[in-house]
This record gives sequence, structure tokens and C-alpha cells, in this order.
Amino acid sequence: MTTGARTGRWDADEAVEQLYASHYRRLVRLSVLLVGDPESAEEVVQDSFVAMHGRWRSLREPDKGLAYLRQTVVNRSRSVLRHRGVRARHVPSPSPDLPGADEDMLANERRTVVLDALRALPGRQREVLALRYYLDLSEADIAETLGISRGAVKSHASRGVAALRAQMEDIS
Amino acid sequence: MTTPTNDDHDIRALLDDAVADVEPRRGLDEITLRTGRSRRSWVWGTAGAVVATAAVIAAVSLVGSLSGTNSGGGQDDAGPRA
Repeated sequence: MTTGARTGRWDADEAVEQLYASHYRRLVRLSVLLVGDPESAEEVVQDSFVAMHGRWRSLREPDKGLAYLRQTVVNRSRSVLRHRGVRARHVPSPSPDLPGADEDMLANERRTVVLDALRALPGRQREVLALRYYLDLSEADIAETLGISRGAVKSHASRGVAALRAQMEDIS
Repeated sequence: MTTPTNDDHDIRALLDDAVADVEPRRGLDEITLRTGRSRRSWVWGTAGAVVATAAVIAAVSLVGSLSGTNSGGGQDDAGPRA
């Protein structure tokens, strides 16, 4: 481990390496839940790391770096969906780039159903569900990440769960 | 397929499972390639500043030594001759 990491003060390059090692895969998976496909998700997360590297002077602490990454991943995932436009909301996109072997077909189908159901939700509900149930963030952290009140987080979460359940029943 | 319930645990399991097989393909190399540019420019900037500073110091030293050499000429050299 580097001197900077031992003392708790990283430079921008160390921050990227350390946060990459501990959070990259999880952030990519978070973005997959938001945008639906691994290719776009990985681009989103890489862009977010590059942005964090550029902002490291003002962040400086690992916790702030991670919070910045989460926020940037959510915002950029939202931008990806916006660029896809109406088509992304209403036309089922191809299933995520997962193994296509026969024995995996059933599992893939189940995953596709979940991702399709998520995609059908309003954006805020999808974001709140992903942050709460995938990243296990607290209401306060979700509120900070999304720039909304804790009350709004609660509301989006309960509506999101109900909507997801309904979507899953419709799809299956 | 499992129908989701209100239970938080079920929703967590559902989302975890949906992305469990997603393995990033590229990653750190791609990021460092993109952020490395700024590091290189910082290095080149610092190197340029060092070279410029050394050049200024050398120039000042040269001027100093030349004026030191000429100082033996006395004050007659200070102005135009009549």
C-alpha cells in the first residue's frame, strides 16, 4: 500500500486505484440496474472515475470520493437514458450482455424480466430502489445522492416497490 | 420465477440476482489511460518550469559575470562620451 493510503490521504491516482479496487464492479452493476446494459454501464462508471480524478483536489477524502462517484454514476446513467429517449422507455431493449449458453437461459430470462420491470418504472423510483436495495444506502445517503428530501426517498421507495411488483406480475 | 413481495430481503435478492453475472470487461487500464494525460501534462509542466527557472538563473549569472568583468572600466563607461 502506498504512503498516501496509509496516512488516509490519497492523491488523485491513488484514489482512482483504491476506489476502483473496492467499488468499481458494484458501481457498474448499479448502473446496469439503471440503464439496462453492461456496455453503457461500464462507460458511465469509467466516465465517473475520470471525472472524480479531475475533481479530487476538492474531494480529497475517500468517503467524499465514493459519494461523488455514486452521484455521478446515477446522473450519467440518467443522461444515457435521456439520450436513448422515448424508445428506451417503451421498446424492450436486448437483454444485457450475459452468457447465452442454454443452461443459463432460464436465469438470463429471469434477469431480463427484472431489468425490464425496472426499466418500466419512473426514473426516480428506479434510482431509489437501486440505491436502497442494491447498494444498501440509508435514506439520508440516498437523499443526498439524488438531491431530494428523505420524505421523497420514502415515497419513491414505497411506490417503486409496489410498481416493481406489479411490473413483475405483468411481465411473468 | 419468484414473485417479489413487500419484504426488503426479496427485493434485494431480486436486484442482486439480476446483475450477479455482470463482470466488467475493461476498467482500470482504460481509466488510467484517460487520467494519465493529466498526469503527463503535470509532469511536463513541472519540467518546463524547472528548465525555464534554470535558464533565467543562468542568464542572470551570465549578465552578472559580464558586468563584473566590465566593472574595472570605471564610471567613464556609464554614459555617452561628450
